[in-house]
Formats: sequence, C-alpha cells, structure tokens
Amino acid sequence: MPLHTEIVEVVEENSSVKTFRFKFGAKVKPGQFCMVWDGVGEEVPMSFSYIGKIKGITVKKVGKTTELLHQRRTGEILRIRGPFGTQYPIQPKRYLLIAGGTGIASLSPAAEEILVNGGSCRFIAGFRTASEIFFVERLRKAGIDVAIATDDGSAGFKGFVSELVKKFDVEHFDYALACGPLPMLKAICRTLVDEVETYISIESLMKCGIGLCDSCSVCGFQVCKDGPVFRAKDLIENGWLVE
Amino acid sequence: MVRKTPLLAVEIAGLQMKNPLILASGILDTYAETMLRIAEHAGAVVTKSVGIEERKGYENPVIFEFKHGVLNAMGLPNPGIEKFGEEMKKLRECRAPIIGSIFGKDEREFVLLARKMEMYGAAAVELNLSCPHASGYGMEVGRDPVLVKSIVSAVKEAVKVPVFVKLTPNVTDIVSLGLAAEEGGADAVVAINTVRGLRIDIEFKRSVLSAGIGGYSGPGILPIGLRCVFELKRALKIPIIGCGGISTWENVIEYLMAGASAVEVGTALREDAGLFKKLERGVKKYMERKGYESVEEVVAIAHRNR
Repeated sequence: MPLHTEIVEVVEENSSVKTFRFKFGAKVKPGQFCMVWDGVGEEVPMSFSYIGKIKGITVKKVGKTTELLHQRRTGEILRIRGPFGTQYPIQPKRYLLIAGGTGIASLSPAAEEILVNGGSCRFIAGFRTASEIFFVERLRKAGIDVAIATDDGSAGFKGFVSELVKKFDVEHFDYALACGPLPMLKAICRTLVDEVETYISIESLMKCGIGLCDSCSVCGFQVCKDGPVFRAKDLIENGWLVE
Repeated sequence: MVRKTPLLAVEIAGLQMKNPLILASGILDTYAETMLRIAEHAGAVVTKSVGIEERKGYENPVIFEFKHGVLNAMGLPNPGIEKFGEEMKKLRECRAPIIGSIFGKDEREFVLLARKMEMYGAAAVELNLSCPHASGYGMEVGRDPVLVKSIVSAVKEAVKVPVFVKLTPNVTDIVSLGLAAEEGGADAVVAINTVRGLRIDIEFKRSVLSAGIGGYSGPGILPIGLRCVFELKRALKIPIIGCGGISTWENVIEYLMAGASAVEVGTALREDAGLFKKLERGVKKYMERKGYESVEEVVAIAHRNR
C-alpha cells in the first residue's frame, strides 16, 4: 500500500540536485527504490539515498516532473510506493564502489552499510565538473576514501570514472558495485567483470514498478523486480553487452 | 493404463497447449525475452495488445495496488504493429503457441493487424474488444454486439489462424456480446477483461491514476469472471477461455468447472514469477486425486451439478 508522508527536510546538493527527507517506516535495503508521486507531476522511480529512520531520495532536475518535484517544500506531502527491487550484496568484505553522477545517491547508503557490517570500501565518484560534486563529504565523514573524477578536470582525475577505475588494482577487492549512466556501466563491466564479482544498479523508466507491465525489461529481466541491482554476469550471459 | 496425451494437455480451435494456463495480455508480454521465459511453463502466451501506431500510453501513475487487487490505466502502450514484428521474429523458437493480441478502432484496422500477426507467425489472434480505459478503442468498440459481430467476421475472412475475442464485463449482458462473437465466426471467447473502477487519493484529492478511471483486476474480480464464464457457457457453443482474478490452482479448477476450457492469468504474477509452474502442479495433483483423465472432463462440471 502506498504511504503519504510529509517532507521533513529539503537539502540543495548543487544547482540541479535536491535531497528530500521524509519519515517512512518500512525497512529499506541499500540499492532499493520507491515510486514517488507529489500528486502534481508524474510518478517516478527514485533510489533511496538515505535508508535510516528518516529516509531520503535525491532528485536531479532533468525534465518536467523533476522540475515540479524540486518545487516541493518542507511540510508538503509525497506519496511513496515501495520499497521495491533488489539490493546490493552487503558482507564483511572488501568493496570497490563506482558512481557516475547521481549514481552516488544509490551507492552512498551501500557504502555506509558495508562499514556497519564490518567490510571496507573505496569509492570512486565521477561528475561532469567540480560544482556538481555532492555526497562526497558525507562519505568522507563516515571514514570512506573517495577518489574523484571530473570530465573537465576541475576536481580530481580528469576523465571518466571508467578510465579512473583502470588505475585501481582490482585484485584487492572482493566486490565491485557500480551505479550510473548506461554507457559508464557497460564500460566498467568490460573492465572489471572477469576480475572481480561485479554488481550494477540500472536506472530505467518504469510504469508499474511491480513487475507486471514489462516496460522496464532488459534481456528478459524486469529492472523493477529482478533489479535494479543485478549481478553483472547474469546480464552479460543474456546478451546485455552485445551491441 | 497408458495415457495417449499428457494429463493437462488441451486443444482449443486447433491450438495444442501442454496445459490450460495462458499468460493474459498486458502482463509481461511486450518483449520477446520476457515472453520466452513465461512460455517455459505456460500453455500459451498472449502478447501485449498491439495497434497500428506506436503509443506511449498514459503518464504515470498508471497503476495502484491495494488489498483486493490492482487498478490500472496504462493507455495501451505498445510499439506499433510494424516494430512489434521484431519481437515476433524472436518468438519463432517458442514452443508454446503465441497468441497475438490486437486493438483497433474499426474493422479495417483489426483486419490489417490480424493479417500482420498471422504473417509474423502468431498461432491465433485475440481481439481486444474490452480494454476499459482507452478512448476510441477496447470496450468502446466492444460493447456493441453489432460492431463485435462485424469486426469478428471481417477478421475471420481475412486470416486462417483461429480468432479469439476478449469480452468486456462492463456491460449489462455479456452473453449478448458472446453470441455476437460466435455469430461472427469467433473460434473462442475470452472472459473477462478488467472491471472499470476508481480509487481516490484523499491527500491529493484526485484519482490515483493519471487517466482517472481504470480497470480493476486481481482476486477481487474472481466472482465476476466466474459468473460471466458460467453465463456464457450456458449460451455459447464455442470454447470459453476464463480470465479474471486467478491466483491459485483452486481458482483455475473453479474456472474450468464454470465452463472455461482454459484460463488466462495476469495480475497474480506480480507476487510470484513462478506461478505458472505452481498452478500446473496444483491442477495436476487435484485431477489425479479426483481420478480425472483429461481437462475436458472437468470443463463445465458445475453446470451438471446444481
């Protein structure tokens, strides 16, 4: 059943990204998502960017619906359906986390949970430019080592995260988790999948969100139900990397 | 004793199915890969309803889940018949029959779509004369018996594959629609599609769906579907495929006993992707326990035991 909840905090992460915090009683695991509706725009799938007592979603302004969501203020109501989907594997192991753009929203709770569960992680976060960086301070405060890549070189490594990741010795990790744009995920998989157990979270447009309508299908899997977090090899075996 | 055919095998209008369990249209059937996965355990698979042109469907929210089922108004999203040919090509390796669901606004469109589906290799076509929420299509065409008869007979003349007609329950008398389909030459009818319904979001003070009114499916409509099949069985000679509210193998048996020769299953798959396998096992065990030797023996049994 959907739940209506008041927005308790709005955080402006950068000029085009806002985080909305709200109370939501259900237990949420890192990587899961919800369908969010403000009663005005469209209902949209959003990863949970905070999974503690006060949950959060982090929204980048990309179109009409997200622009409307950005107008929402503290005290206004959101309708949340979920949590839906699969989660990142969380174990007391060594992790390499790779985020592109808003992919950091889905991976940040995973990083925090890995530490809580006795694991370790290194984080690589890619942005277009330095002014777009967000959540990195949050991760560093939690004690996570974050390497930055920017397309224009205004912070950290100049270039894509898929290039920066090649500089890491993947033998030191048990798992790689990645979330970001599709071309980035494919590039990462080509580099890592034979070296380390890799899980990726796929962003997709969705209609039903509950595994019925087939609108988010990828290689015979439903992103909303079988994903959004997939074991990369399972997708690749079904032709995901074939152009 | 040696059985000639497997216990659950059924035949409807020449379609050979390993069991009487069919994937209903609109559920997990837009992409070939998904349909192939479902077809491993289903007796047949109905495709997403396809029209002449690509349609995006309605804006989200298009679905609302609640205790007694699901309300949806997708708005017939589909890639259009030309593009859908690519999915049908990939389905040629499928061992279960693929039934092509089509929707049109008039005879001409239905004929064109049916011919394409036949050409693509569909084992049968299912005419969607029952979608409850797309303006100019579905039940807006399919609640008039005269139109139903003329569309069915036009399609029958145009194709060699069997023609199934999916009927709407959103009328006073579904039997008159069933008879119209039969008179038009339909090989089977499918009953029922979703029931028109509405839920209101009291925080946002508006319908929970962007389109307003939608179609209600899931366990709540089981008695409505069963009643429709029961009524149709009393009046029709052609086979009936039951649909609506099935979530357990017991529900499948109920439909068979009410007069269905096979059933379509949809909404319940949201809770259990392995549902077809479980339904198959449950129906088989029941039939063995009761000593039945074919599905046919169960069909319409409730009509005799009143």
